[in-house]
Amino acid sequence: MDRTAKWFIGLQQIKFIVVSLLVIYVYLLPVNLVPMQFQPPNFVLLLAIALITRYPQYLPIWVIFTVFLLYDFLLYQPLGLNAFLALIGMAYLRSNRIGIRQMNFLSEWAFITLFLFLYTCLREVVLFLILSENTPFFGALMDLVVSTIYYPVALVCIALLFEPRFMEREKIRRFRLGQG
Amino acid sequence: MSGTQQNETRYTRLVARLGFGMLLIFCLALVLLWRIDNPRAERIRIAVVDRFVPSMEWAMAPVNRATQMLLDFRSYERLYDQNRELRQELQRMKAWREAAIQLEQENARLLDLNKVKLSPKLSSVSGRILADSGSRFRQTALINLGRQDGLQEGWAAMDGLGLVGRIVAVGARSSRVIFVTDSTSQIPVKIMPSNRRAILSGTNTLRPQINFIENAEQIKPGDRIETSGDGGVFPPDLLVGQVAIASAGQYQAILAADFERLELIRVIRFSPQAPIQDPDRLIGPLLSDPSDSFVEIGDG
Repeated sequence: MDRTAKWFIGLQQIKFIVVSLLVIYVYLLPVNLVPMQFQPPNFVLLLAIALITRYPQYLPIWVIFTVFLLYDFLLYQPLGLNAFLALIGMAYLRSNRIGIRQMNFLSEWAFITLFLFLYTCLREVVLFLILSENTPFFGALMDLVVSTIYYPVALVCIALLFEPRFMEREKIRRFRLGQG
Repeated sequence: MSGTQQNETRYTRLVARLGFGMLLIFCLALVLLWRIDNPRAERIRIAVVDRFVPSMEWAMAPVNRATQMLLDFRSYERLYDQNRELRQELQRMKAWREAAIQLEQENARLLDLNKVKLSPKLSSVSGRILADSGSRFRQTALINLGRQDGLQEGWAAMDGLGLVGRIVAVGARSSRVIFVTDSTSQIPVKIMPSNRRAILSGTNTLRPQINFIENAEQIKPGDRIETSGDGGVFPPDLLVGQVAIASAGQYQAILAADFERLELIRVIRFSPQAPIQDPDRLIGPLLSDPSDSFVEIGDG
């Protein structure tokens, strides 16, 4: 199978949109209307982060824009804010993906945590600048912790969805890096 | 040949960069619109939601059923404890029933004396919850009633027993209810039997706070909380819950509505005396225009 063919890449892009929509609909299910102590993480963002450092060609700008705009619309978020931040964040990760790919798993995790922290801060700053009613900062930090914990889950999801023999390849790559 | 190709890639890169900038500006403009003209932005949102969510009802049905089964299954585990508890409760209830019958008779006598009529104006329309907001900071839900069913913004939503929230956005086939637990929810209430006015403020927990109580000394835990109808948005005398006092001495409300098993919602048809048309204006009875009175004074 030609993995660089245009139709194949287009298929992967649509796959990502469908998966994101599924995640959003899971969030929308009225399973629990009681206020929660722990919010589920922004899993769409985590998936996008995991994907863009591996396969940036599957995540062009229009896909990011569509997915996160829908996320804002459907999940009652400030309209366009997540789309704005995701466009900036993904552009940053896209241009630094080679450095991230050379890290081992733990330092990648730490780096992504830092990235998520900056993302949260930027979000709070924008909300503050437009004098919006802010989410409690402690709550935002709690969400950051939850998101960090869920990042490996997102990585596994991406591996399973977009690369059937992902783990094997990882091992070989690490092994080679260790040799060199 | 390679030169033209290079030109082409440079050209496409330029277009891509321009598009990226445009999208960023578009998003930022959307955020600003959302902040500045919130009602219009919410109307756009509910139109989008209207298009997406009700059509997904069939897709949600099996998942809803599965989660319901899971919850039911979990409740079996607690069955034994519940049974014992219920038996004890039944014992206590028998005593209460006796008291209730006596009170009912007394109430009938008093009503007869008073010739009180209960308001027949309040009719209601029922719908079911389609989706929740999926966020911790926003306690809202979508219901399957909309402009087609004659819904209006500001109407009160209840479950069978107690107040659940208020309609904030109405689409053609769906609308959004903001719960009393949401931190932006502020509802004028009265606490019976002492008839003290207060404001019920959501805290994003199951226990909203009761603020601005007049004469807080007269209020005891277990007192009933009802809507007061102040401000003219809600009809008066809808049951909200009971007063409880937290360990910090803060007054809280134990809601009568059962948020854990919320599925059907009853929306009370009640057109507020002061319709919510300009969201930037204070809600209340219409004041006379100050410029008019100025002219009158000038004439006199």
